[in-house]
Amino acid sequence: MNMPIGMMLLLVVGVLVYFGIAHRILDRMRLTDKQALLFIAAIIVGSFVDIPIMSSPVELSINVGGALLPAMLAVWLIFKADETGEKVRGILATILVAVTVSLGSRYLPYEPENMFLDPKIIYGISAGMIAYLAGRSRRSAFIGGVLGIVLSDIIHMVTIINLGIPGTTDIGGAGAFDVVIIAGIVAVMIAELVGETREKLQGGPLLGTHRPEGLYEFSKEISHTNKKSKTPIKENNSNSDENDQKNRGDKNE
Amino acid sequence: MNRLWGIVVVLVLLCGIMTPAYVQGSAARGYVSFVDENGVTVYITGWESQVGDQCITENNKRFEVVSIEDEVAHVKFIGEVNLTQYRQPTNNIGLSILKPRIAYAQGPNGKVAIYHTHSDESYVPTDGKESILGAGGIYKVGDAFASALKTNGMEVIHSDAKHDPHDNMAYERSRRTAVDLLKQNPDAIFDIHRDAVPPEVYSANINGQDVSKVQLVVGKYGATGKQIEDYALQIKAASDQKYPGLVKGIFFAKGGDYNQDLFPKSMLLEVGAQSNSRASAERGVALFADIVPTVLGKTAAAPGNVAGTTGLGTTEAGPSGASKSMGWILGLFIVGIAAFLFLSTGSMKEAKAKLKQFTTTEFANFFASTRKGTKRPKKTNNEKDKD
Repeated sequence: MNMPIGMMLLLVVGVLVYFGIAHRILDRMRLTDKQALLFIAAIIVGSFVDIPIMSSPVELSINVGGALLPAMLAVWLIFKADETGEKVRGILATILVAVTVSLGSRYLPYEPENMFLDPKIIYGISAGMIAYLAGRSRRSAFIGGVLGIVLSDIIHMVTIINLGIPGTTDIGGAGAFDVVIIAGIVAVMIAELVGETREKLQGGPLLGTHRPEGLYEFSKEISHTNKKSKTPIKENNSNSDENDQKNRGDKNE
Repeated sequence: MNRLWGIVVVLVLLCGIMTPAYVQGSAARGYVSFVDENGVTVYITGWESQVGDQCITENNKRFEVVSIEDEVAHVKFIGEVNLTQYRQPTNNIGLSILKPRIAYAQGPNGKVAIYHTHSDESYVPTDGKESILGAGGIYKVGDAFASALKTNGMEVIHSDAKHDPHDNMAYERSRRTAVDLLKQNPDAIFDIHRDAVPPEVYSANINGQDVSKVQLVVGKYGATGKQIEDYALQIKAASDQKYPGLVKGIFFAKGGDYNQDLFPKSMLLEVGAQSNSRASAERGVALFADIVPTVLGKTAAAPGNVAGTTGLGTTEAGPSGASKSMGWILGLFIVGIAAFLFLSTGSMKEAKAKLKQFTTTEFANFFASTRKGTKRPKKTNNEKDKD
């Protein structure tokens, strides 16, 4: 590829920021940092794999990185949910997002000149808001964003079959950059933004002595651990440091 | 009370998103005229635009939409664009030595990918209808473009993937086609459309041939918009040099990225309108194919203007579109992090502490055995609940 340095750097910066954000989002989906990183690697590799499902009356295939893996993560999140209510909210968000996408795609402007917001973002925002209203949960926002788009693709396929329009449905075909993943990421960011803004409007989290018990306070936590960790390292030899790390590893598992 | 607040915030945000939707709607006449401060029509496009959209006319004058009444968009003059800085440089032996070897591996004339997001677009005088679902006349225009590119010695991948119906999700479906084409490593990718205006807007006579002109559309929404803008100006500069009048203008739409975020050399072309004959559109796009090798730096031994518009920028011309786009991405990223930290913690002190906690402990998981003295605080049950 004959590409000047400016364009190459732009591609590199864009990809790093995109996957950086994706990593932070996946980190909140019951995945550890390492698992989230592996998941992103799997999405990238999976982007190159399309699984054909049927070829008539329309061609249907699913991309491993762009749809299969994120959909599996979303389904796993539904199964792992602690309460039945949370499961129901995840499924409800999915259905509502699919309906929004199907209606939106029909009635919102569709020409380059008159679109007012990129569809990827519109449906990501819808998924985030629906999930927030349904359950104030980042996980159901992710589930709604990912499975909602997958479901809307299936609705699209049924529509074109019924209307007899020739076409193809390649669910998640754009891989890591597909609307399935982008809607999932945007949905979590919106749920987070709406939630945090609302909390802020209400006065924000209490600080100091009246802070609810157990609410994480970073400044205190840091000063607390720093004081504690500095003393044994200075006094003891490297063996205790190793033990310390082993213990830490256990805790993280 | 909490729920009430939630509903209010969500309603306000929803109103913000939905309001423009009601302002939209297909124009009764079918197209919109851009009228400047002196009441002169400077540009015509097929669909209602939005405040903030911009265009560069055939004469390289730049306008921005300031208000819209029915089918008239009032525009203000922003300035004239000097396209000479976007022209391709002459042969430079020094640079040709620096050109990476991989560029030669694809053959000297490069590879171009073509697809059609709106599969139904057709030309009434030739095809009979303006929309033929799944089999629009636009594919034949794509074929004409492909064969003209091949005549110029380029390799072409022309996708016949269908993305109907012609709706708001069409670009998300064609995104999959675009990524599929990009996996084949092209030098440039074009999404070919047609406009919807009266025939005279696109009619032209170039070198004795009746042709339909070409409009370039740049998605200004995406962070890579600045880079695509530079690319569009390079295309217009090359076209103005070879076939003056062939490129009708550049439309800067702020509403989407039209999948131009995927690749820096992506362009959306509108070849003629539904009211022009398809044959004239095919002739127009064939002329356009002649300038593609120049734009891609395939005619000169040097890759296109390495330091200037496609590189990082020069002191005289300022930063390139690619640099500006990078600035936007990084700037938005940093602002986003700052806003999130402030919103989620409640005070600057807390925000700083959270950032410190993130930088010192989040990556301890990866580098645990190499970094001494950093201690990862145990995740409490409460924090896990928050997730």
